[in-house]
Amino acid sequence: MAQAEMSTDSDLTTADQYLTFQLGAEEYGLEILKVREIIGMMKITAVPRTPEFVLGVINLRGNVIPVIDLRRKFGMEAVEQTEETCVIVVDVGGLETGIVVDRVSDVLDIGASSIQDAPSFGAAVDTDFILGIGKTEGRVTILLDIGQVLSSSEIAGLEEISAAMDKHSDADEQHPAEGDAEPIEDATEGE
Amino acid sequence: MSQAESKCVASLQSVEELLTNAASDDREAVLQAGVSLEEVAHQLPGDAPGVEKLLGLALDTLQAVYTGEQPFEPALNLISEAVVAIVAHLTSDGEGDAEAIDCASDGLRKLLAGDSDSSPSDGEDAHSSTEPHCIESSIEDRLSVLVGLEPEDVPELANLAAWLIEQAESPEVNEEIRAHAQRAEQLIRSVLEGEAADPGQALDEAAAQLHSMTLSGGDGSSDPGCDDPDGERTPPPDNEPDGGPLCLEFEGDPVLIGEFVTESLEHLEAAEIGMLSMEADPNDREAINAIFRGFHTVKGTAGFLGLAHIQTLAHHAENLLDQVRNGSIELTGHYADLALASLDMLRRMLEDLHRWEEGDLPPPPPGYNRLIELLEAPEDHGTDSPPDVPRAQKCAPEDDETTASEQSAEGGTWTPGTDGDRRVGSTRVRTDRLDALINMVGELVIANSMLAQDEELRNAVGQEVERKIDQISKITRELQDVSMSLRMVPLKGTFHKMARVVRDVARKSGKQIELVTDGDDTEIDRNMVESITDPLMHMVRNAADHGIEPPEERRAAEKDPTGTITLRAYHSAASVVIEIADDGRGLDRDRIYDRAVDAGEIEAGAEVSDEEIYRLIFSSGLSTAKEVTDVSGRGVGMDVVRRNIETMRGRVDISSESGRGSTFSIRIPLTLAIIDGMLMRVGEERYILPTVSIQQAFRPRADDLRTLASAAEMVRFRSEMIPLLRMNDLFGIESEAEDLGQDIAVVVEREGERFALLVDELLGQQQVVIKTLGEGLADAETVAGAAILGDGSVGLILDVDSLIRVAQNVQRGQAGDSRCAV
Repeated sequence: MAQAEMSTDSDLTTADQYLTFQLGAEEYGLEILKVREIIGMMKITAVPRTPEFVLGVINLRGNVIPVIDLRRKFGMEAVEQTEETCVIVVDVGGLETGIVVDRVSDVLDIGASSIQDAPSFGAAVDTDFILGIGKTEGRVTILLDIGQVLSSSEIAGLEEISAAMDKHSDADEQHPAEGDAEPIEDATEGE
Repeated sequence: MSQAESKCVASLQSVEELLTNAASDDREAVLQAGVSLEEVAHQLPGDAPGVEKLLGLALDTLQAVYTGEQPFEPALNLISEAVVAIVAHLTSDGEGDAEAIDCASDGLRKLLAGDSDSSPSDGEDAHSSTEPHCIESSIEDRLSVLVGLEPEDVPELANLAAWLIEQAESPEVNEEIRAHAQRAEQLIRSVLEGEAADPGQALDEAAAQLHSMTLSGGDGSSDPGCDDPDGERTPPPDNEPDGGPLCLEFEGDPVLIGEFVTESLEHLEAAEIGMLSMEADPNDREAINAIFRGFHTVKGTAGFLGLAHIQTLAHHAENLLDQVRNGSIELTGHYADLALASLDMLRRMLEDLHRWEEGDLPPPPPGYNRLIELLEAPEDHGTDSPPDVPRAQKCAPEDDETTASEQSAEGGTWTPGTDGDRRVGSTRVRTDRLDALINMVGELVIANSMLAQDEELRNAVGQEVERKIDQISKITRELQDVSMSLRMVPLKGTFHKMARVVRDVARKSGKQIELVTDGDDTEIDRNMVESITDPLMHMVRNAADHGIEPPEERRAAEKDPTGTITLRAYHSAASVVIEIADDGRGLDRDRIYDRAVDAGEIEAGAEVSDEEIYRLIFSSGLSTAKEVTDVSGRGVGMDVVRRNIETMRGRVDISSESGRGSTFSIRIPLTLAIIDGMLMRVGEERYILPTVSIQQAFRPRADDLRTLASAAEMVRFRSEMIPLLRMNDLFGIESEAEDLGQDIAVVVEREGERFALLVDELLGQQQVVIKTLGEGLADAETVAGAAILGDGSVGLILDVDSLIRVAQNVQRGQAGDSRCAV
């Protein structure tokens, strides 16, 4: 299977490229075409009376753009900022927004054939913001529809999804590889 | 040489000059040349078929250049040659120049036929054979000619009839075409012989027949008429002019159409100004010429682009105006209404067209046919009868019927205060590019100030570098000034709209009102023009409708029966002030007072200053009550007016004297893009408060504070107690000073009420460029926008209005758990 994926890589275009980043233990991917740039953390001006996940606004070369904390958006615990914490500036429909992530990992080529539909969890858990589950070289990446992520007001139950997904993918595919969700910890820090 | 001929020669020479000097992408010049040539074609004495043919070819070529089918270079040269040849012909009275004409015709023909070498060099039946859809386009040529013709244009009609017979007899055409041609020919014949009951309508029907010919035609291969002896007009082959209100298929270039719409709207605006001043002075030759020119250009260009409905209407209006021009009627009363109605209709059609993207052309608005009928026989309705014209009015929606029945002396007149006809060259620039430029300049200003204020740099380098930095700073400032001025437009256009409002109200209510404008070249940010127009229109209408008394009442009060409304604009500091002054009856202080007491706005017997009383007309509680409108005379939607103006960070002041009139002054900032702000610190955060909303700042002492049982804190400001809002509490910011001694109370006003905002420190005043927070945060309460501060970080600009609203809600929420007791 891995070989098969490798062989299709030559046909891949930038549309199949995903920027992966980490939030806690999970690896997520964003369509590279939606990514404008990656910048280090800078002083964020808090905007009063906005939702908690809105960290505030920054000056991106003269444009004031909002910055959101993806951890808070996903209802995850806050962590200390590290040197690797950074802001990915995404462009959704001409609107630039910064999202704060723990660490940017890699750019992965994931062909359409290696992407599974997001598992359905019934009405309780909204999976609209997941483009699909990418699997390459034994890595499982949750590919986010960042437009949906930003436009939905609340996203909960994400951990459930990722937990369920691991099982789902294991069952689905007799191709366990060593520590399929874990190797992200050792992923290269491609900034 | 006849007078007409010398006029032709003059226009031809200017066309020649125009073409020779035209840049290789100057389509405007091409268009202008086309319009002039068309005019020449109209005026040419009909005794030189060669010349007419050549003109037709030149127009065809111009059209091809305009639509991009032909490159500019060779085509324009050939046209210039053709024009020169025609001039030579005209000046030499037709002697010995046939060769030049033929030569020029050949050149153009070859060019139009493309690379094919099959164009015959001469002869009546010449170049048609290579063009498969020649018959179609020649019918269209005829059709557009016909649309422009009047029953009196006997020679042209006869020409057309002859051509139609030729068509009907031609063996190449199909039955359908033949039938249409015959029918059209009969109609035209009936007009020529004076048998038609309604010649105008007969011609319209004939046009419809011709139109049908284009629909069913296209297969005729040989068309003797392609050498169009009177083909003045050359609509693009991809449109179908029509006499009736049909949806037409149309494939124009949206860019061309867009340009046409913008330009035509400008022409119409100029014409409207002309009409209004004509009403004041019916003998204003200058004005009638301007109006005529406006309609004429719209007609010509519409014809050029194949917009038949617009062309037809413009044409009819032009006929009316022509009668005005030659003195047979005066542009007052009914005729003025009619002309204005045509103008509104054209405007409406242009606006429809502007929204048009592709596919069918928008159908003419309702009332189009009726208006055309009225225009065809304007005199039928007499000067004193109300014109039953549906108004297609956008600018004054509340006013869509005209019931004027006054003599021409009544009605609004308009006297422009400054006669600004100084023309400066201008260029159209797309707004987004302009905005981008201004944005970049804003960035440059910030970057520059970061550089200039960098202490380290200043200390490290010598005086030489410092001087250079100063130089850059100076240039940057000037650049900023210039770039800001790019957005500025004069208020003239807005004031002109007001002239129309006054005129309509006066006409409707039978009052005599003169509008005097002053300072209409005062400039404001173009983004604000739209926002100011509505409130202004409302106030002007109020002044005309309620402020100015009817003539009898004015006479009884020993005033000039003609009321005067003065619109005045001027710059004052960083603001623009617009005054609307009327010499009418003034605000009725007592009535407003009574009403306000009834509405519970004030307590009976309370001492209230005039200013506060007048302010009450803006309060929604009063203004929505209908009786107030009738009694006090003002008020419908005045609260909306005030809100609109406050949104622009402006305010309205009122002064009034009973029996002498009222003055409303609107004070708005020059631009919405830059504000004067006070930078203040709350904890670690910095905020900007627009300086205009700050009344005063002071350092309160502990014994100035009172806490009410409801948990609301008050602070003594001068002799009154005003609510105190602690910014750190409101925004949930840690602030070092609960200790009041260091804090500053900033006094702001909202709807006449004062509030004090408690901040840690005032950091100073500075001009900032307002940026939006980005759409994601567009609805963030309390924040009006953001600005990049000198150090490159973002500072939030507070919105006083919502800040106080939010604070009040918070306080209400806290009312139970008061933080301290009295």
